[in-house]
This record gives sequence, C-alpha cells and structure tokens, in this order.
Amino acid sequence: MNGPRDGINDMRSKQELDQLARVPNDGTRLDSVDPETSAQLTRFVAELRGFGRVPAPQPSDELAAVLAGAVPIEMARRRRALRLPPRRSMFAVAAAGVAAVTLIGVAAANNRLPEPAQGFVVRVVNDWTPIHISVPQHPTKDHSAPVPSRSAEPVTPKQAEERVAPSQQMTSAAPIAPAPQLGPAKPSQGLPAATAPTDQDDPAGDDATPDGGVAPSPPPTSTDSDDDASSPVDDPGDDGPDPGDDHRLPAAEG
Amino acid sequence: MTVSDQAITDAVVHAAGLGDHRAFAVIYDDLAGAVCGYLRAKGVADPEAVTSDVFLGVLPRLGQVVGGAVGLRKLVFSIAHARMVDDHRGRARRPAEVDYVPATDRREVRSAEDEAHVGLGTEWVLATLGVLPHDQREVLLLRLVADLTLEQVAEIIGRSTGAVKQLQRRGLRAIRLVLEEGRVTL
Repeated sequence: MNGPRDGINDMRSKQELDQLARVPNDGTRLDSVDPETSAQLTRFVAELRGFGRVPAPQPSDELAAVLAGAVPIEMARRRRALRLPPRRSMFAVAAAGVAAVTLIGVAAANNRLPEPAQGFVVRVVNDWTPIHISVPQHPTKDHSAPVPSRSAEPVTPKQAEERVAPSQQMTSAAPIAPAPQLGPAKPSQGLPAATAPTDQDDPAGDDATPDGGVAPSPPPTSTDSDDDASSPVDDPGDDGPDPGDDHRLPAAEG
Repeated sequence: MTVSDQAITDAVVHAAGLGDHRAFAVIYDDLAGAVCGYLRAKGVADPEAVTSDVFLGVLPRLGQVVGGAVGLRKLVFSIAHARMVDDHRGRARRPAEVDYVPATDRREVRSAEDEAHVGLGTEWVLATLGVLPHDQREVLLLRLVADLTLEQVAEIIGRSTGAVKQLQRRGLRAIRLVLEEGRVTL
C-alpha cells in the first residue's frame, strides 16, 4: 500500500533528478557549468516529463467494451488469461501438424497403417494431392492361405498341403495379420513371381511379374469359396500362399 | 478521453481488482497517457494500439496487485516495457507496413523561423534522447515519463538500484554534453 515513506522517497528521487539536471553530480566543477546548458537540460527534463502527461488515447474496441462495462472485467480477465502466448503456440501447433501429416504420409506410402486408416489416407492423398499412393495391399480375410515358406529347400505338394492345413484352421478363427513379406515386396524373394499374373489391372500384380518369365500359377487353393466370391478381384496377397507356388520359389530365385 | 482528475488510490485499485469497471476506467484515464507517451518516446509503431493492449494485459492480474496504486503503476509499466520490447523485436524481424497519411508526414523543409525554434518540442526531445545508449534512454524514460522510483525502474529493467542511478547520471551527463555541443539536429 501507499505509505508516506514512498511519497518521501519519490519526492527525494524527483528532486535529485531535477538537481542533477541543474548541476551535474559527476565531478564537474560547478564554476565550469554553463548556465545556458543547465537551463536547456532542465527544459529537456520538463519536456520529457510532459510525455507522460498527455490525455489517454482512444481505447481499442475490446478495451472500450470493458471500460464501458459492456464486458464484465471478470470475463475479459478470464479470456485474457486463457489466451496462449501467441507465437510459441502457433509454432508448436504448426510443427506438430506438419510432423503428424508427414508421419501419416510416410506410413501410408509404405503401407504400414491399419487397413481402414490406410484406405482413407490413400484415398485422401490420391484425390486431393498430386502424389499418388498405390492401393492398399493388406491381406484380407480371404487370404486364408498360409504364409509361404522362405526356406530354400523345395517343398513337395504333399508337404505343402500339410503346412496349409493348420494355418487354415487358424485363419478360419481369426484373419491372418498383415504379413509384410506378402506386400509389394522384395523381388529378390521371388514371391511376386508367384502372384496371379492374370490380374492385369492390379499394379501389384504388374510388379509381381517383373521378368514375366514365371508361368501363371493355378488359382489359390483356398477352401473358403465365400471369400473368393466376396472379393472378385484378386488381391496380390492371394498369390503368395498358394502351396503350388511354394515349390517353385527356389527355382525362381535360383 | 481526457486526463482524469481522479488520481488512482489504493481503494480504486482494490475496486478494480474486484471487477468494478468504473475503477478500471479511472486507472485507464490516469495511466494510459503516460503509457502512451512512454511507448511513443520508445519509438513503438502504433503506441495507441499497444497502450490498449497493455491495459488488456493488466486485466488478468488486477486482482493480484500488491502495493496498491504504487504497485499498480509498476505493474502497468512492466507490461508496457515488455510490449515495447516485443514491438521492437517484431519490427526487427519484419518491416512495418503502414498506410500513408499525409498529415503525419514530417518530411518537409523547415522554414528559417522553424529553424530558429529548434531546441523546443517533441522532436527535439526525441532527437536528443536518440543520442543516448539504449539503457540510459530506458532509465530516463521510466524515471521521467512513467514517474517511477529508482527501485521500481531497477525491478523493471532487471538491474540494481545503484546501476539504475548510475545510468541516470550518465544519461543526463551525455545529454548535457550534447546540448553544449549543439549536436542534436533534426
């Protein structure tokens, strides 16, 4: 609170300042002080003080509403308190947005998003940007065939059938999780060579036969005919699990 | 707005803290001119707008003012000082674009009569101040325009009271030298 001591201090402080304007307190000899300069300095101090004695300027609309009581002080106070520091928050939001978009874009381009999100992002990117991302290639539930063996040893059809059986049991209960090796894939693994070459429209199918030297494989031996009916277009994921292809893989690689 | 006849008292500050808009209007009338003058002397591009912004910035802290009228004055000029620094930083990053207003264009050749009156008026004061280093100018403005004590100025600019006193003394001595040499030209 304001006390008498403050007033005295202020007064002393102001007097000291005025005194300084009249007579320097910096070691200058008093008889060397030019009275005209001192007068000018005193006037300078007075004029500078005058800067603070001007009428209040017209308030902004927001402030005028508060001053007039149209906006309660409490509300204006809360509004101001909630206001975030402008620049930092803007930069933070922008950086987070760019990072999120980049991450989603990269993930979508690599076919790493969950299937619904992947489809959505691909649709948005393809429709709204000049960038083109290929159609999602996640294996769906009709890919009941097993993940092809990567072992280099040849697999006989009988062995293949034996391998298929347990996985079919498994997939009948739950769909196979997306297997990255089934995707657009590494040609060196030879998997794409075993894809359905008849699917000309599928870009993955095109990719799957880069050398064109692999003979068309028979249709997948999925026992779930309903799934096939529900997905008339061959998904490239169909190609890998064909046990008939499996035994050809080493030959393709070799 | 006119200069308020009603000085700020501790009771006014208390009432404003409780949400009395009339008390806040008294505070604005009493201090806004000084704030605007301080901002203008510091070369802020739009001192009127920044003055409003300063008082809007005071609002959230009105209820926590310590020291009554003296404390409020210090708070207001602390915010004004911060806004002034923001303004200068902002303009350092991007050049200001303002509409051309012929009435405010001071680029004109002075008449002989005007020349004879050099040494008087706002421009003379600003030109004289412009000779000083930044910290000396800041101290003189806060002392003379904002009417703050040495201790309050020290708190606002983050220096010791002794340092502020020294800056004030040096500032006045520099101005004295400038006036003696007649170095200020407009």
